[in-house]
Amino acid sequence: MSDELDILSASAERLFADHVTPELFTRVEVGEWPDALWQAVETAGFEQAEMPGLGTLIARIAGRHAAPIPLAETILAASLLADATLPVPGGVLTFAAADDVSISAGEKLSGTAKQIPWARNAGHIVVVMGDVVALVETARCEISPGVNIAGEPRDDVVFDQTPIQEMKSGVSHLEADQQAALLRSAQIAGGLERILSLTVQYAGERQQFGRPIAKFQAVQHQLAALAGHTASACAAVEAAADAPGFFAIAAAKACASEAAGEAAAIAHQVHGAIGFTAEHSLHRHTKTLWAWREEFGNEVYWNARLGEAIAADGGDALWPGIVGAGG
Amino acid sequence: MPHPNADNLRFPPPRLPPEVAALRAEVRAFLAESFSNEAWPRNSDFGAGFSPDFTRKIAAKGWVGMTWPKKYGGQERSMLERYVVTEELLAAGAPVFAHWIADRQSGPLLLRFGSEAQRETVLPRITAGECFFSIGMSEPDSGSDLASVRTRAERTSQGWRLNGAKVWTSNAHHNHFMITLCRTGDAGEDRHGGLSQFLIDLKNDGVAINPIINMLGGHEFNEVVFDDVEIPADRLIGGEGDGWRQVTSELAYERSGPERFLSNFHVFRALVDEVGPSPDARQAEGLGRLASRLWTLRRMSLSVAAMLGAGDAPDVEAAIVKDLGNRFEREVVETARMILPLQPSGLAGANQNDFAATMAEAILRLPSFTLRGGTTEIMRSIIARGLGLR
Repeated sequence: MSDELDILSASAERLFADHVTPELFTRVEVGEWPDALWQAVETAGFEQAEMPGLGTLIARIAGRHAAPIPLAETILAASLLADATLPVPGGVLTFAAADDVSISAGEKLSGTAKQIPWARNAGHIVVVMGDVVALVETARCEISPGVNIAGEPRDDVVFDQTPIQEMKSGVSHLEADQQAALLRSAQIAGGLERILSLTVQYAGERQQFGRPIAKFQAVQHQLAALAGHTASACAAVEAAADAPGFFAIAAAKACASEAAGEAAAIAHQVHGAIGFTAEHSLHRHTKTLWAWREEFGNEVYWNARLGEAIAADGGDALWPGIVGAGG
Repeated sequence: MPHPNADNLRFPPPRLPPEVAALRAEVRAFLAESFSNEAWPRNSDFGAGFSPDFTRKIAAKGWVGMTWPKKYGGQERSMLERYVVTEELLAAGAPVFAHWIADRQSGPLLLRFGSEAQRETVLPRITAGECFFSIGMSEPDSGSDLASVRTRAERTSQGWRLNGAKVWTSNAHHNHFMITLCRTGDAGEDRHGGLSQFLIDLKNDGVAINPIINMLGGHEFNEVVFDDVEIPADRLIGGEGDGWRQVTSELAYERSGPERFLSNFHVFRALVDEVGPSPDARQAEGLGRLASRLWTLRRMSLSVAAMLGAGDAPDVEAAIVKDLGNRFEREVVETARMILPLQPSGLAGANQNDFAATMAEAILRLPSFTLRGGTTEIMRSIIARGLGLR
């Protein structure tokens, strides 16, 4: 990593550590929008981080803190607009890759997009339909609120002859669902780093049978497995951000999603009953892992898509395919 | 920042230099021609195919000891270039065992710790593909607990006298030399003192080599017995008492390479063809899962190779690669039997196909993968130490 990226990482790490506190989560839980956090992010310009390199780095650091803001979504929406050479409005953005939405005469949108992240908080929604990218004002849509398992907003959005503010067709870019999967993978990688450090720290502090539980070999080997899950997800995400493409992103999201479940189980087991309480912070991070592993395709979805491509290409193409997908 | 100890695990994205593409193409072309000329069975387990003939051929291409100085017959190429050659050889299922140990660890050990005379005697023969090495670490009573070795070397007026026995010594009956870890003095408080390594000439030093037949019925392992074996003083590698430092420096090379996750690649490749171009949902998911794991492992392993090439000591990262890599090797076999049910059998018969025999051999070799080069349990203890738990 270059010095410049090191400095950026350190300042992002500091920003989230300062703002994302247990007290903030308490306020967000009752519906408050974390305005100070979002303002700090905008001041730092993190919502304008370019995809894939900087965007995934910022998403990973936000993921370490389970930051309750649509930062990854805003980064992605802005990136999709920029790829389409459309103007990027300021403020909170989200996006919808929607199959059940269509364009009617007079540049209006109709249909429903389900479980759109943070739609209620976004000023604009970027809607992707095939090779068409459209920008609409959220105020012109009907929002039915919903949440994921971590309590993050996942709202249904109804477009009913909603006017399109900007639009472009024939847009060629890395597919929106792949970019979304890459960003969620990065958030998962950050979440895994966090639960690894929480769990290692707790195992060193918690005493049973007269010594820290970290001294028991059975616990050590669980923590080693947790480190393996974390390291492989992080390596896969870094590799996919480095050379994004269908194979790399499919592999990264599959790896990260599978690691999320395995790692969360170990983290809870090592934490014991205290990790099951509302008071302890572990659940902030395991809940987001359980949510993010399903979003934009879980491991079964991406592995199956990858497997279809591999089977179609045949055994002789297998090794060149793995080597060719980055590295 | 995350906990400092957890943050120590890093797999920085490696950058393969541009000259690697031409080298990779050259290796692939060479392998395609070799496999069309010879009926070698494809097996990606580095320990499965021993062919002095193949080793001489790739030595002639400059691919044995390729990172070593030119004065010893090396090519002075980078660790990452060597990585590319080794991964291509394994992926193709080429018979690499004859030179594998000398190329991977014995030669580098002599380069780092050996005397000039030892290097001049041995290294040019390795790079010519004519000199093969065995590892002399494990003993009947010393497996994972390597520091407990009891093979003893005592000083004599002429040199050293060795007594004891080594086991699981692959190909000692074919190979020319064995680097042997011996006790030469007191262990000391940390148990790592008083160990030294010696260059043993397996053909001429008067050691007894007894076969140990493995559970496949094959003769790869041996017991190597030292019964008052006298060797000259110049066989000591490095200084007396340096043995522990030497063996631990070999281990990162031994643990992170592509051989720790590619051993069953030939099974994966054959499985793709057996499944065919129109997989059902379960088959697609199974093949995809293997591919995504393999892609990730390769990236991690390349990252460790780049760190080794840069002079770092990524012992913990190497242990993670081996632990996850060995698990993947088992997953290849387990996935194959779930998505393509068949009766594994190595017996020839009218109902048998090649894949059933491939599976049978893979199932039978599998238990050795999580043992050789350090057990899974030892890997996890090394990782735990890296996390600051021990």
